[in-house]
Amino acid sequence: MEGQDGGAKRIDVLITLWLVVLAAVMMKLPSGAQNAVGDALRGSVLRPFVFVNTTYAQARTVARDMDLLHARMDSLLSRVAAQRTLALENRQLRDLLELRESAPHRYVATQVIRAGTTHQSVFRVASGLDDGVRPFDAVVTEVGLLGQLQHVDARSASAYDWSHPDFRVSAMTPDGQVHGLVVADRGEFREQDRLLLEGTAYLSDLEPGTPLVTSGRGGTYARGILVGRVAGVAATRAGWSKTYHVEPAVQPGAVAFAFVDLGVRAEPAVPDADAAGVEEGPSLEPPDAGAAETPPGPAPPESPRAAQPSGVP
Amino acid sequence: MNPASARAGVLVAVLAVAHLSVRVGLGLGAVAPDLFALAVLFAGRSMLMRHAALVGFGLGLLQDGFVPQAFGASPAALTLVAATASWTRQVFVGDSVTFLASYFFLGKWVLELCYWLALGEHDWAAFAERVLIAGPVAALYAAGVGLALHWLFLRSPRAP
Repeated sequence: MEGQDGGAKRIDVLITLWLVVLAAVMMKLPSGAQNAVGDALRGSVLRPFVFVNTTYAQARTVARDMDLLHARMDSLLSRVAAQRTLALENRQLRDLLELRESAPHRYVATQVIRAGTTHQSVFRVASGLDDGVRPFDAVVTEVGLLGQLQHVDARSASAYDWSHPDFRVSAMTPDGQVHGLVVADRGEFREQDRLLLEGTAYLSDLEPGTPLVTSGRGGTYARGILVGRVAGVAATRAGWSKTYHVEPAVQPGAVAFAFVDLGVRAEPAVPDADAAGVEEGPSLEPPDAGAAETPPGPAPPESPRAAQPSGVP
Repeated sequence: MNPASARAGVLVAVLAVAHLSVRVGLGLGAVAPDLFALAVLFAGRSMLMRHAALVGFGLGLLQDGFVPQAFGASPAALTLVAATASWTRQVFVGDSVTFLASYFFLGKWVLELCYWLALGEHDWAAFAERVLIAGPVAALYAAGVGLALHWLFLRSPRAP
């Protein structure tokens, strides 16, 4: 009897160890294999919960965020109205110089879903391959860069925001004089997360408040998306380079809606652009991009709604 | 299978579905208690170690279905906690409030520690935040909910 008990205990321990080893092997799998297992789970057992999440998030958003959407729409409308004259002037100047029309950027409006899981820098968006988005497309909001898509399913995609340790973006000042690499600088608590601008020239002298935009180098991110604003010098390597603290433009926790930047693709990514919600939009350059001499400071409210403390990020 | 084990098995299944419904379906995140942790702790008290470990592994796999960047960490942590919980059944007998509260509290706290170890980030700030600060709070929350669930569903009938 005791021998049987001992045998059963050994089997218990062996099975437990085997499962732990299997989990350890899963951690070391290539990301493609891990994503395949994740896809299979989300497409089968977890599918009802994903469906409920998407449906509930949409319903909640419609019910709760109407004021927020109104504020954003007002803000964007006023910005578009202010830039209409610029667009006309730009077109006339291009005609004078016989320059070709620049290809418009394409965006997919999407919903940001945080599934309530443990990894805080990871989120999902409710757009996938069916909507024309691809892995490594940038996720942006009307105020700047949020993160980057990683793995794209047919109808959704996982992404990480700028606070993820693997986040990297090549950035520059709007006048293009100072370039560097922006990386995440995780604080002791998530509220203290911010960014670092690394690898700038030692003689560079960026004032606090100077905006930083994506430089377009590497081709992953389009040029001109606002990344953040310089907060101060973080470190110097004598004679070689300077590193700056950067206050990010977007607070990830406050984002409910975003755009996936499809970039300028040769062929239309989506056959029926209207049906998929694809929009051709203006560049997401900050209003003061290209005018680095503008003194830093809080931008004036663009509409009465935007001035209200409605949580507009 | 005796009725108590059957009830515990049903409770484990219900907790798993409830966890996914509340944390994922409704997107409540840490506002909702960690019902996966409670499920493996209940499984540990009522199942054989191999079965509890399998439950832990399966629930961990479901949890990591949403976190491709840390795939495998939850199955490892939940399997270890489930197996350890099953082992404690042979060492500690009883269902007093003090024992169960300690059991759920320590189980959830050890789960946080195991998850951090399985992530292998060696980030001491994350350790302080996740294990030392948020961990005990989440463990207290889990202990409270675990006690309530035990009292509601698994309470032994009082002897006449």
